Amino acid sequence: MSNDVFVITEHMDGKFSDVSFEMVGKAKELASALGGQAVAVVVGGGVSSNVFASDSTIHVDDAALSNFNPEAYGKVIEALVKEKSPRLVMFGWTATGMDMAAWLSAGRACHWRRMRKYRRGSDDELSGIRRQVGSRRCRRR
Amino acid sequence: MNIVVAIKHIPSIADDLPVKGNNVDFDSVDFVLNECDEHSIEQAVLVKEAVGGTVTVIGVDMIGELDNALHLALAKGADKAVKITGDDPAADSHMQAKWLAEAIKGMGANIVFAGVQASNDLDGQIGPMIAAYLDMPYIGGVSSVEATGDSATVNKEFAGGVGAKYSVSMPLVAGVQVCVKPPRYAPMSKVRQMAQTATIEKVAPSGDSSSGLVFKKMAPPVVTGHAEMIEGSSKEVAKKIVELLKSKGLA
Repeated sequence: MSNDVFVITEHMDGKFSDVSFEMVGKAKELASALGGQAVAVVVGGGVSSNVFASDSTIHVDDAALSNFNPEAYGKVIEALVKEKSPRLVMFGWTATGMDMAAWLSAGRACHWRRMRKYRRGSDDELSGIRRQVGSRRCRRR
Repeated sequence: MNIVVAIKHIPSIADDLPVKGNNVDFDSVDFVLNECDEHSIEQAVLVKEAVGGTVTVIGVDMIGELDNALHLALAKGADKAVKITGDDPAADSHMQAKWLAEAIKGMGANIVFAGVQASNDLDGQIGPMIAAYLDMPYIGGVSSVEATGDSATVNKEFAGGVGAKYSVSMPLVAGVQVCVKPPRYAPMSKVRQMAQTATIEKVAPSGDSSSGLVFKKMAPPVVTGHAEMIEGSSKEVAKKIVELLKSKGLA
């Protein structure tokens, strides 16, 4: 496993969503603490991927991936994750991220964390805080 | 058309959640049907009414009280009800999805519906995980479904009110965000009739899965500020707002 942090970016009509940039910012912090790289992952054709302040960008550029397709995108990301073995893969909790994150986590030897704030713990631990049901807040690794 | 609806019985968020140790106090909280699942059941019944077939509703019985939700689903038009005797109120989404997938595997489903999300989806939603375990395509954020032949045309909602139409091959798993019609009302007499006459099939949980998630702490949110109510007539309120803006250096 590498110490890299992958950010699965989102775009529509050639424009990246705000959460993509927010995640890259957080990924840089985490990757720096882990001694790895923040990697922006762009899946899709016809989009300019040179917009992120990440350490590097992986662009899977194919016209067949121009529009979001959960199955196709998921399989591309799964192959990337298996090949590159990052420490953490970040998705937005959005219409596209929600279609792929749990799917990737269930079948593909990735564990899952859903959270709104992050703090790096020791070794394999990642702590996050999120609003729990009923406005409660929980912390978990 | 063989339609399966996977439902989730979740802690009610109508009141403050009782906390015990690092988790919800499951002994003193009511469990209710996940709201998205009500739309999911309605969407399944609408597809059945359009093209024929059967609707099977299946869920993990977290605290031994799932029967009410299943009877309600039957009263609304589902044909069969199955409960997985999990009896573990803390079973996470990975665990539930695995149990559900194992139980659904032999049902020959053409479409599996699941609510797109639930308030206790800490480790993800069950829909995409069932799809992963059953090796079926998944699409979430679904707001309408039309089944034709061996594929379905579904509408998926994106942010900003953008919708997209997809054609998905069957068998498939769809995460329903909202049904094209509001969930129908089932009269209590019909629900009671189902409670007296319907048979709920029991299935033992099978399979194992882990989210890798461990609760470290659960606590009420820390109050970081509060609202100040400005009272008085419109003029008085306006004057106070101006004073407030001036005091903050904003006017």
